[in-house]
Amino acid sequence: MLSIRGLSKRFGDVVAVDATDLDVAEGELVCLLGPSGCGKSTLLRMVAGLAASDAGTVAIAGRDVTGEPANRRPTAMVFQSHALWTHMTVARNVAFGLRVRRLPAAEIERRVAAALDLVGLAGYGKRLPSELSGGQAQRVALARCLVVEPRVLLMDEPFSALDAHLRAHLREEVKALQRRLGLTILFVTHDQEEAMEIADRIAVMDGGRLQQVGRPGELYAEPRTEFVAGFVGLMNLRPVAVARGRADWLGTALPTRLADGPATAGVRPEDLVIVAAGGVPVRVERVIDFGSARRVTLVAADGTSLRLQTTGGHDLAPGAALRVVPRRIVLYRDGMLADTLVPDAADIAA
Amino acid sequence: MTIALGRTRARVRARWAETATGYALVALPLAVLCVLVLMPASVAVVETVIVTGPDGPRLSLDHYTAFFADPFARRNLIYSLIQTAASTATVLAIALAIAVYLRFGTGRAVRVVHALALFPLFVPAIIAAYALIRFLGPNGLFQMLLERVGIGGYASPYLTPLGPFIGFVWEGLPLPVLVLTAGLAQVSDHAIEAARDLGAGGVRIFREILLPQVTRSLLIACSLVFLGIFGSYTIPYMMGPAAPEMMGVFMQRTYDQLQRPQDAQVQAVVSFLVCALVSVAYVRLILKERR
Repeated sequence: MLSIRGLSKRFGDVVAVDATDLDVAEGELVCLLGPSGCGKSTLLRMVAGLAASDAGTVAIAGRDVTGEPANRRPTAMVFQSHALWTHMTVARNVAFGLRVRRLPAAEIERRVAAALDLVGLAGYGKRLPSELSGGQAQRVALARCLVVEPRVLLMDEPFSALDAHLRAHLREEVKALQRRLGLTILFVTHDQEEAMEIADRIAVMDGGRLQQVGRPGELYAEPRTEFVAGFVGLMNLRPVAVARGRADWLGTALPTRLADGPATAGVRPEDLVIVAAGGVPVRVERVIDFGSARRVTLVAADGTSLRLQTTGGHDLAPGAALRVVPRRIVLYRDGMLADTLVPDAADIAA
Repeated sequence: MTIALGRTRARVRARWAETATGYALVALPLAVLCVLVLMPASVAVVETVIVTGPDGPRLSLDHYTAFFADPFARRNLIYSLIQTAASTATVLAIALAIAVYLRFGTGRAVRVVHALALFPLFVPAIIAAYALIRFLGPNGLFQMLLERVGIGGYASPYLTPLGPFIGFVWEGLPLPVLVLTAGLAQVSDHAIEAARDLGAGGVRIFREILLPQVTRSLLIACSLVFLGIFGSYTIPYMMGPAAPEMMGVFMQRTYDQLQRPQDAQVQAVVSFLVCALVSVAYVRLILKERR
């Protein structure tokens, strides 16, 4: 449905978006996830036609829309600040796009009522935006977009100004609507939890480049770059030295196919296992009990901080001495995934 | 009980002191307003409705009847209203265009236009009028330039109704530009982008998104410009025709040259009533817009 090829944008010397390729299938919700300033909103604005691209193409439903202005593209955008027109009632806000398309008044009235009903705001048509809560205003903004039946719905951090509870509630609603109506959505967020929860696929961006595109579970299990490993989920990342086919992880030499040189090792908190003997000696510094699991901050003898997640019933009081072993380690060289290690008991002992 | 009573008294004293300080601060400007404006204005109004006959002074609207019966005075009033309305409409149209450009334009040209639009604010009316006469008047710079490129038959606007019109537009631009630019700054970029995103073109965005959101600024600018032009003296005196005259010039001539202060007072009260009507309309529109 949406096909982005080699899209680039510079602001002076700063590369905001660098030769980006991305495809969004019909009925799919893809999240652009990345830290502030990574270029995700600029990419979204170029798809909407609100920012001009320096190079590359945008095609929607097979039609190249790269040179078309925003008002001719089959897209609609929900902004972070909802951007409702405060001098218009809710109904007039929602009807705006239909009036632009010169639809008959009766048809406009019917579709506005249906759109407001869809977002749970039936009967709110005569209110002014100033009489709505933040969540209601964002629903009106969503209805205003849905009513024009865009081929691609663009959402630019739509819930980031709302409180955590409302944010969670609204993203569930959006996901349900997307499934029910088969909407194609490109959704920008810096919140990885939001992306994991709502997206069919996530495109992680950093420094204007797409780092990795994949299903949420895939990104977590197989982060292909060091940035994705650190940004999606928790990861214990630390530099290691590789010499003679072994990577030195906190004094434990693990076999690797990497050539000699520096690398970065990553271990997920749930891949750190508490053992009775052997392994790396650590001290418990802090314990956060989530009920279903505990997240423990550990400190190794050289001062390295590690996070461990466990569901086991070990004694994990702060100050307690433990021994841990990594169950799975990923190695990155020059920021890219270079090797995955699954050490066995012999490796740990060695 | 005694302590509580003491505290209440102290609180009352503090509140009274605060109120008294507030009144003291406004006392001087209020006194100036009363002595120099309100009192003479009230006296003038009273004097225009008192006619002294053989039976002594009596209340009468004879002076006003005489004013509206005089075709010369009527013509001056109508001319002033038309000149003010036309100049105000033109000033607002140009100021709105400049303000929209300043709000949404980018680059160095925006700063240049901003400076040029505000420049007349720092030029006294008499200097502006004199400069415009030198530029637009017979054998002025504009005529010379036209003749240099082979265009002849130039009819100078100097001493015609077009003369003060040009002066008013040039002199009147900065204030509404400032007011409208401030008003447009309140309209967020996202509000404009949302309309564009939903398919609206420039004209619809201007009509349905921008204009309704700067209505209040437009009303403020309109009343400021209208009142300023209607009561002006220097520009119509320097650049306008001998007849008809703007009310300010008419009043001055009636008072000074014709030595008829009571007629000048009637003209002043009529002018004041026109301005009061505009002020009332402005307040009503503002209240309606707020609702």
